[in-house]
Amino acid sequence: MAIPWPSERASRVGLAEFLVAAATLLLGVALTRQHHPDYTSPAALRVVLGGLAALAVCGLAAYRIVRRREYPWLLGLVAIGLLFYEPLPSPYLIVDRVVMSVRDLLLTGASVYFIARTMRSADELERRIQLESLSWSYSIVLVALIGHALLADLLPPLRGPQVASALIASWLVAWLVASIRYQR
Amino acid sequence: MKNSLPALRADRGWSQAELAERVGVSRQTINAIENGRYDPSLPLAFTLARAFGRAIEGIFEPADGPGKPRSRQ
Repeated sequence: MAIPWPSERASRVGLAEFLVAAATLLLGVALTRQHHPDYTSPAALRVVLGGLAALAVCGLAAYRIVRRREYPWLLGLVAIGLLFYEPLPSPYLIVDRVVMSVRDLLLTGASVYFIARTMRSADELERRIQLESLSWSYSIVLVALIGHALLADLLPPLRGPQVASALIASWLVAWLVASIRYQR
Repeated sequence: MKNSLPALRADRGWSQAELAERVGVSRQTINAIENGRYDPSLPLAFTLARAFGRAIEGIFEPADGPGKPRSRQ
């Protein structure tokens, strides 16, 4: 009997929604960033509103993924979103720093809760797949970091969110590959 | 490891999803065990055996057939 591809935890419908969410996230961020500073002109305002609409579609697609509990696709979205994560531009205000720290702490806490809950609800094969994926992800990113260190003079400097994004994205790909491999 | 899960399941008219629910694992896990992609842990093997009212060796056997335990050299 066939199992839904690529896994029970991540269906094709979820994949389609993930692709829609990823595309609209990229589009929304690009449009709003491009015209955000001068959104007072009517033309730029239309572009910014278009970007916000794209972000709303992204949110709706993400909501549908959460409703179906297909969290792997959500992690893929997090990996893309992390690429846009930037610290506040200087000069820093202490209030801003505290607010951002609290926000990041809440996000980290939510991530830890989510991972712990996922692992608790997983059966032994799913845990094995998760561990295999994590070991692949860690190894791939470690090799990439070593490569980056060797070519540090030629490449742009790395930011923390980019490393986190690479870890999550490579985990997702390794998880998909492992899930499919155990079903064949 | 070879197993007779598909035949036993068919005898009882259980789907993979139904067996998965009875033993508390995902359908993906049952599918992987039946296809020989994954060898279950001893606790899960016992749970599967209990679900079918059999001994573990009545469901699972080594890929090279039942044999004597290896003696240490």
